[in-house]
Amino acid sequence: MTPSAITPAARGTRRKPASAASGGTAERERGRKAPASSSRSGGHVTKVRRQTAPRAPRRVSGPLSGRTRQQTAGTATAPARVRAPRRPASRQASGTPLLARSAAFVRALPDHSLLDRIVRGRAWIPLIGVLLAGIVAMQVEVLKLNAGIGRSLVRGSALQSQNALLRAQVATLADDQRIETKAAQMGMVMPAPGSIKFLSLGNTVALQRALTSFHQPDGSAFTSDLTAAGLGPGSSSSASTDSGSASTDSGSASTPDSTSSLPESSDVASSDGTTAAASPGATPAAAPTTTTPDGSSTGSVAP
Amino acid sequence: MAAIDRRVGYIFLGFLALLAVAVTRAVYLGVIKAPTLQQAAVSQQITETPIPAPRGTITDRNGVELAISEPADEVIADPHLITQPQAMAQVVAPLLHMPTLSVLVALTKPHTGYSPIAREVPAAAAQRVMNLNINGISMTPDLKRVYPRSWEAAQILGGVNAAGDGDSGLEYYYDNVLQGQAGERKIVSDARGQAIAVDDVKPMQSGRTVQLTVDAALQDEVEQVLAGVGAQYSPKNATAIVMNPDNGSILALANWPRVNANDPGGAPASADEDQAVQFSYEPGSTFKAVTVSGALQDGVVTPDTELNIPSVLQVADRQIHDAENHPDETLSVAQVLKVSSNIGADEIGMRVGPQRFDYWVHRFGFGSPTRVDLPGEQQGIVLHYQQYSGSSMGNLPMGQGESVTPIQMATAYSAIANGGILRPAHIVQTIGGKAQAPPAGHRIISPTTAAEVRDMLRGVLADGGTASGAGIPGYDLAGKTGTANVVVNGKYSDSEYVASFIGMVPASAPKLVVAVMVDEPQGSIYGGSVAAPAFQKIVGWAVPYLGISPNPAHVDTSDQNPIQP
Repeated sequence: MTPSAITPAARGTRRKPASAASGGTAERERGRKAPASSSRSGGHVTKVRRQTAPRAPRRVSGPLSGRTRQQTAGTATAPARVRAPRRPASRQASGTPLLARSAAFVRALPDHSLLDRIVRGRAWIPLIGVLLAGIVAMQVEVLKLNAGIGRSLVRGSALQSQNALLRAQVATLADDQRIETKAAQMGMVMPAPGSIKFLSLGNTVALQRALTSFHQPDGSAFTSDLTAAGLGPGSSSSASTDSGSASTDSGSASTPDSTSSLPESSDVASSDGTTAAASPGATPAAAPTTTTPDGSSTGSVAP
Repeated sequence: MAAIDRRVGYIFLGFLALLAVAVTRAVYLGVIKAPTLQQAAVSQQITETPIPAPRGTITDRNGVELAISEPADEVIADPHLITQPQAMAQVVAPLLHMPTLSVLVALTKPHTGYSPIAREVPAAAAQRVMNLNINGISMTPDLKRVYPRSWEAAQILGGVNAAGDGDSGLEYYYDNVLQGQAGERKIVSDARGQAIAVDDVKPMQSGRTVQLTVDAALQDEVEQVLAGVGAQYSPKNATAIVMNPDNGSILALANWPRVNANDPGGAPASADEDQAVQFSYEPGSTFKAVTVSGALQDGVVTPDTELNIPSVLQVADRQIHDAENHPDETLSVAQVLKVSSNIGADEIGMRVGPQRFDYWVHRFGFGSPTRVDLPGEQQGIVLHYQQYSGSSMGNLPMGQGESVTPIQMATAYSAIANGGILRPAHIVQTIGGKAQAPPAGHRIISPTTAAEVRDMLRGVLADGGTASGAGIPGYDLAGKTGTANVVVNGKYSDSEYVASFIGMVPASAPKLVVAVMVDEPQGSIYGGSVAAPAFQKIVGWAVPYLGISPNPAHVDTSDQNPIQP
């Protein structure tokens, strides 16, 4: 206990006049605690409490020898009124360093009256009860959280698995051979390498004819043709999904009969001289700058 | 009052007795049976499951997945716990698409508590088995290597073994980066079996993604072209390589016969080989470009140098003929390449001399691996000039007597295409998203020499050339045919040939080098008739696909209108 600390007894008696205690001993008992037994002396203390004064001194540890005889005898009906002397303001303000004063304040905190009242109050019982219940609830929540994490991990693993499977499916479905086979079933053809020709900008006649032959593709007609061929949306396609049988030779690509009614946007002649109607976009190689042959085979290589 | 007290006392005694029983039981369970119960609790509540690490994905240059890891499960039986094996086998077998007998054998395996029923079972099928809740049947998560495009690039990709390690192809070559690190997960379950705590004791690390320089669409096209060659000429095997000569990246590398990567056992062992790097053959006339390049660089000839070509050339004990009989004639060096004159090539080689010829052969990378990042690369067989016999210079300059691989030839032609820098081919673009620096090249011939050779190789596809029909309208092509006899029992066969063609487009500044090699074609044997059409189809498809513009000089300016109005 620091010299500057205000003892509980002193705090308890601060509201009462100093006459309740022997003023002569106040100075001697500065900084000392009143014996605990004095606060437990029957209903007298209770009565005092009801009157909100003076409060029983706190029990303190420490040697008994340092206490006054009056306190140890337990005969005092009222706690010793101990008042901490005030230091001169000038000394407090200038003499004591701020650090020391802060340390002293911190050391005095455990004896603060507010803290004392809180510690002695009955509110602790429900408070501790609530805290215990809170701990239990928290544990339950942790378990729930763990269970949730577990479920999430399991779900995450399942989703990852599903994702990997879907990726595999996408990769399989994006197989060029499969798409080419499907396209061939829809009447699209891949032009033979030699069948693509390029026009010079100087050849105005050919360019004029090329420009006049370009027109907006008719998507609805194409869709209706696919539907008629049993390959359109909503129709059950009989196209096989296996790949590997498509040929790059346009001449060997199968062309359904219905392709004869396809839009004549870009007629592509196959290498065998037959003309197959290709839908727009079916022949990426046959870009607008390319034209189709006039039926003569240009791509064959003499053996 | 006393009676009440007595009753209260009895009740108290009763409760006390019950408490004593409870305490005794607690002591029994908590002290005497504690170890056993603790062990049981641990085994029932705590599960440690491995987290299999998926191998890295292999993709093409555009991210198209060529090899991925797919979740699968291993279904395991503990025969000790199976009470009615026959009935269980009849239930489980259809779900796993297995014969009942095979399942029964696994369920009744003696003296073991671990008997795998099926491996790499699709997750859905394994889950259906688990839903049966059969005591003694469990599953372990596993992964299955899947090749979504089955047949595509199968020899390049290779495969993995049962343990999931790379076994062949790129799976083997890049196993250390594709291989992940398996993790371990500890799961604490409650009495109902629900996980209440999950802890990844050892985190799992997936393998890194390997992105190839290969273009899946082009690869597919090249494979289809080879399939057409295979169907038409029934060769022993065939291979084709498409390279970017500027950086040595392989855009497509196909082999025939094809192999289903998901079922490698379904093809003969020889089909699993990547012929592009593992097949050594005598190149034949395609080698003449090397001879001419060396001669031009040494300054012993120019493209216009006239050579006297006799009908037969005697070199030591050998008589050299051309493919077609002809009287004595005079051909320029360019014409020698155009008509693929063996005698002309020999004469050029002799002008170079054995020592310098040997230098150029090695300078172009023959006789040593190209260091392409594919496993099993052969280095070919090239004699040192001190080992030459008297007739060596009669056959070496025209492509006989040395053994090369298709990748060596494609790399050498790439050097001619890119202006004279020999760059090792490579097939991996990025690993784990990190770009791989292309291997450094070194200059072997001057840009002028390279341009002169390219210019001469144009003639091969021009009228009168050995591949005159392989041109593509609008494009300026260059290349060389090759038809080489196969050595059978130490002698050149008269019936077995290797037909090849190596070309580039556009000839002025090539963006693509395409090499096609067909081993022992049936029906036709010539490079110009077997391999050149394949080259034409590949290039014809590739140029618009890759956005290579036609050469205005080669665009048809005739008034003949090909458009059907």
